[in-house]
Amino acid sequence: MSVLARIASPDVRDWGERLALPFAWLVTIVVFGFLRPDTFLTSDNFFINILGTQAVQVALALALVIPLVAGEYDISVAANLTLASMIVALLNVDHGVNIFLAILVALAAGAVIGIINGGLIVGLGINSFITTLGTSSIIAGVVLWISESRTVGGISSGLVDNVIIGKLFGIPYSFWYVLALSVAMFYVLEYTPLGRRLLFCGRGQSVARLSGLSVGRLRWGAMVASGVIAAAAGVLYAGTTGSADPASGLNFLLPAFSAAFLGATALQPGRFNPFGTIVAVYFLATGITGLQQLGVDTYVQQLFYGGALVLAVALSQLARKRQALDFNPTD
Amino acid sequence: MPVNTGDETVSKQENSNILELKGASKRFGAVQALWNVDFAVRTGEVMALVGDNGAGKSTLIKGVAGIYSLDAGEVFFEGEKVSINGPRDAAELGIEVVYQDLALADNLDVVANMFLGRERVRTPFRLDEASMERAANETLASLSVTSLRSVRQNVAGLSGGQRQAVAVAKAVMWNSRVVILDEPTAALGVAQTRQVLDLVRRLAEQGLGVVVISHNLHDIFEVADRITVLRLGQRVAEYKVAETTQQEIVRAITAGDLQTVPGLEVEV
Repeated sequence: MSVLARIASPDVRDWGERLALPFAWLVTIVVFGFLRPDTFLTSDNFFINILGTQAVQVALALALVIPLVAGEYDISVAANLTLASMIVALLNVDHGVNIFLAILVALAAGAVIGIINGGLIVGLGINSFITTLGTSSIIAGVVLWISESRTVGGISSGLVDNVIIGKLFGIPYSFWYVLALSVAMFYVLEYTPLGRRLLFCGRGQSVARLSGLSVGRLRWGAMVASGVIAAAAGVLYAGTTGSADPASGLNFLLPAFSAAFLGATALQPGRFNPFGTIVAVYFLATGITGLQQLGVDTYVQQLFYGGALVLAVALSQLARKRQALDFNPTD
Repeated sequence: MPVNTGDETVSKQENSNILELKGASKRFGAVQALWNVDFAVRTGEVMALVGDNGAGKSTLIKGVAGIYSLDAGEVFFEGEKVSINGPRDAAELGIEVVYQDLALADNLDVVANMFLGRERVRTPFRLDEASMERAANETLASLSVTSLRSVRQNVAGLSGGQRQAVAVAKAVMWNSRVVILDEPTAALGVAQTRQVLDLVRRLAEQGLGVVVISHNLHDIFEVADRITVLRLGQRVAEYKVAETTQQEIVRAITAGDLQTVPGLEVEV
């Protein structure tokens, strides 16, 4: 079965619902392109500013998708992102460590955080929301500590070139990285036993356990995957800005949740899915960028993301309820 | 044909216990959920397990299924002593349990549910959907379950009887030898109950050992060959359906003789 057929299956009649969000994105582009033809649709703005810069946001939202599929929350992804970008900056700038090595250390740190989160959630049986809320604060504290609250600039141009400067078809590499990541995630979730089992973990944990799945290992693994991908988002962030600061990365958290939930209303409604998540990130980013170019105040951004989150949760709730699912990720 | 020699293998097969528990005990804190229970099911027969709420029926099957580990007691499968330390062990022996509410995940399709945890793959990284779909259809057809619109529809859209049929099909798909059904007819209408009971009977006719837990004595008398009665965690009686009455079973459930007085039994 082709990817498209898979997305479209099994019922053609709810195509409207599947494509509502991509369509809304298209409408946003057209509307702002019409209102601000000189600035909005320029390649600098659209390809670099939206598709390129927002790749960090996409990566973080994708990091959330895996635990959400398995029925867990990971609030610590944004702090994890901040830590990874800071590790890259500190090692590379302050200690002159090779950028490649610095990236590996940052990813390893993400894995360790995932292992700790998973251990607390599965081993001690603590609710994932509370656990990661706590570890999130701890990580943010560690970042302030190791960075001495500074912004560290001057990261190796090798990273910056390969993230935001270098382009393929006019679009920065960062976009293609997250696209590749989403294709890989889609494949695993859709075509492999592992993906199938993660889905059962989130949809029917008791059913999965009684069927002999090692539910604990799956949930733990989901937290580790989310940790590593969040750290990769941090590396992208460091490459996008060429620097790292201890605070700004935390702003990615809410939009990531908005996008993950909004994405669950699109393409494969009722299911957290990577392609829907990408569309959701870019829909939200396009809306914000357009509004900013119309000259609205910055507070609108918060209203927009917050509103989108509430709306998206409500919509995905509806989509799932129609499929007779009890939505209870932390069961 | 001489009756005493030629039929020996047949009669041995008919009377052999495919699954047998001896002296099964399980305690949860202060509650002795099972105490010294013997239980057996033969190939080709339906054994009913009855008892009041809290009699230990679920604990017993969860012990057999590897969900709980028994504190004491031995499990024999085809006469061999086995140890079951998890659902995987039970499945490998060919013991499958159809749980009342937890057999299937609602929001996933019939094929995904039937192959949960045992997905077929073309390569280690690629599910073999076509083959799984075919096998699901074949298994359902072999059980004469024909009312499903598609094995690609979500379980949530199935009727209670269809769900039960899919759950049973999931259980028998793996060359199972023993199928344990927990309240298979609870919450079903008359016609659907009929279908499920027929299905249960068919399993036994196909040579499986079938255990049915039910509160509904009427259903049990329709489908079962023998009845084991549990009361307060102890086995108080075992009857052949042909030689007993519903009144006798009710009496055993509510007032069957206990080996020991609850609360006074020795430590296991």
